[in-house]
Amino acid sequence: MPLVSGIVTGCVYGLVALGIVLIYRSNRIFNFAQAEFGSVAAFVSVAFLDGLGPFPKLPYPVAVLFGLLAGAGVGLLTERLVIRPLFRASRATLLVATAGTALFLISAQAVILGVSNIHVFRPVAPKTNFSLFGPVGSAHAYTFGYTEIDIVIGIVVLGAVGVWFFRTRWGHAVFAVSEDPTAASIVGISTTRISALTWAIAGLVGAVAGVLYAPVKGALTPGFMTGIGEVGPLVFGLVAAVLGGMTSLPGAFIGGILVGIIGSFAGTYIPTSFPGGEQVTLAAVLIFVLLVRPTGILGTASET
Amino acid sequence: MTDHTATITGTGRLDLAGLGARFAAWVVLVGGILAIAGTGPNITGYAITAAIYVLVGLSLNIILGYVGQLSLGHQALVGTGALFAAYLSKAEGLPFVVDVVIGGLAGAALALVIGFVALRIRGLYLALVTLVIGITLQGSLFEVPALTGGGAGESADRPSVLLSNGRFYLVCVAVCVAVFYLDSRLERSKAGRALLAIKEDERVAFSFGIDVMGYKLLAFVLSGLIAGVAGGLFAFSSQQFNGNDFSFQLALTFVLMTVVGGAGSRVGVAVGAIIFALLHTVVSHAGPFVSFANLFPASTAANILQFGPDLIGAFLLLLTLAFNPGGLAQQLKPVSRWMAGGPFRIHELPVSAGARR
Repeated sequence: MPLVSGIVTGCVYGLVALGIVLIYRSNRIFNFAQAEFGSVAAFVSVAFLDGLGPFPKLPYPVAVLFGLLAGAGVGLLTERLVIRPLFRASRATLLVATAGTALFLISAQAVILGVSNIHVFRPVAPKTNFSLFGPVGSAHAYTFGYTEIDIVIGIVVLGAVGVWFFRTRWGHAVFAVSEDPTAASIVGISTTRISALTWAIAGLVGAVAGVLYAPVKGALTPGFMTGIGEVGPLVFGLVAAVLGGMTSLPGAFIGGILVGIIGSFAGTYIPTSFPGGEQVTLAAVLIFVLLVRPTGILGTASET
Repeated sequence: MTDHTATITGTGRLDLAGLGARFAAWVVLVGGILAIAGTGPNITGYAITAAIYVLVGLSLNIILGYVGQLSLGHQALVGTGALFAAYLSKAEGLPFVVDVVIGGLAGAALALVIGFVALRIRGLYLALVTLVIGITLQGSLFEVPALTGGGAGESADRPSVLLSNGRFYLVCVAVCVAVFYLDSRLERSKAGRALLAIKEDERVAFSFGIDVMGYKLLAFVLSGLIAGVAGGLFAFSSQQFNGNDFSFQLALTFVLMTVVGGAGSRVGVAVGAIIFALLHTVVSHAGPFVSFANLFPASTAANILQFGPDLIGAFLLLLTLAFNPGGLAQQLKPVSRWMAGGPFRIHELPVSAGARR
């Protein structure tokens, strides 16, 4: 079913897009390292799940929790080591810097893990393990598994980030800093602390995306969230963020689901004799949106 | 300024010692480049790659350094050139020079399309569009079996005269020198000054009567032409076209080498390109690095040797951005200026107004 699989991967793309939009709202840059926060989180989780190397074998929730913390930590480190020293640099420079960070993280994974070993992230719940309205196998039972959990987690994360961003002082402070850093610091907002916080949250959101995508992906290779030699969630997430208008949090998530569904249908119905149907469709959608409606579906003011 | 010109012309006296030293430096440089052609097929093979990377760097430099736009899809331009060159050579049996020239024109045509998009979409969004176009071409056009000869890749046989790596290397160097020269002429021409004005401020340039659209398209077409020629040479250097060679990672490497070298400076970009072209070979064979890797278990050591150079490359980029935004060009400036006849001065003179980033 292309629709369901599209929605499942779409949730992941939506979460990647969410992280990209968060960073875009605070720093006005495209964060090309966003997806790699997820790869790191997934590999750390796998290391704890399977007890790889020096890592102790831990129960599922604890392992995933450590993975998520690792993602947030990498986000924090990226801000401290890459973004903050470049505070006054141009946006193109910062873009190159985030791409360099992504490449650095991918190479680090490759150095540590290699590409020949196959790592698999086992899903928390295989399909048909849980059911509503009756026991598994009975007539009225609605069995659910990974798909539904994926969507629910996606929406919960979106809601949490939304509440944090729009309903707390911290969220308002992020917006204030991005609008006018000088004015924000005059009224007593610590711009460095806000920047660090935003990147940590973006790292956490990216980590959730990685942990959700890893079981769908199956065999994990270094940089699987960015996609080396294939189109990974990073590119889909960027397109989704543009589709959602670059500044809108719900728009990014909806854009992600749309991109997931479009990609899934294109992958299913475009014949294999026409190679790269998914990519061509994606590129067409992106260029069409940018040329015809640069503010996206839910974006507000036009900002380039 | 007066100080600078005074050193070139001297105070009326001919600076024979300086001339001789510069002449000797040029002889060493040119002789060294030519001497590589006489070494074995392995070293010349690496040198060919380096020369092709230099071409790509010069091509990307036109967009990144002159127009100030980031292209994350440059591997698609190179790949298109390679695809056309390989196809024309194999399927149509056209001679080598024609293949490479048409490969260049194909790259220019694709760049023209991207250029038209760039007229409407700018900055970060253009970077994203080039990224998606690059990935799309790699997944679609480069995978069409009729053009690429299926999974094994289309073969592109060199003409018998150029079969030895040494001779092919000399051809690549000749193309590099030609592009280098034409690029330096471009920078000093009306078009070059117009491009710099556009990079500084598009609206101001427009208000001074500069044809912003036309010059932007010109820059993209020139960049595509050079990238396409580089692609054609690349196809003939590996003697086959394989779509998988032109992945997004290659595009990132191109951007990395241009930025680390110092976008806007030909010398810097060329040196950066050479470093990144040879990074894998040199680093994974360098004694200290190998012995460092051997401290680890065997499988880990293999990973370190294979992917460590990538890590070093990314690290170099981040260091460059944070501490040395002018790139290698900044460090090379005293040397390159001295070689061009200027004074040898490590520290820049304090520049007056307009020296901000």
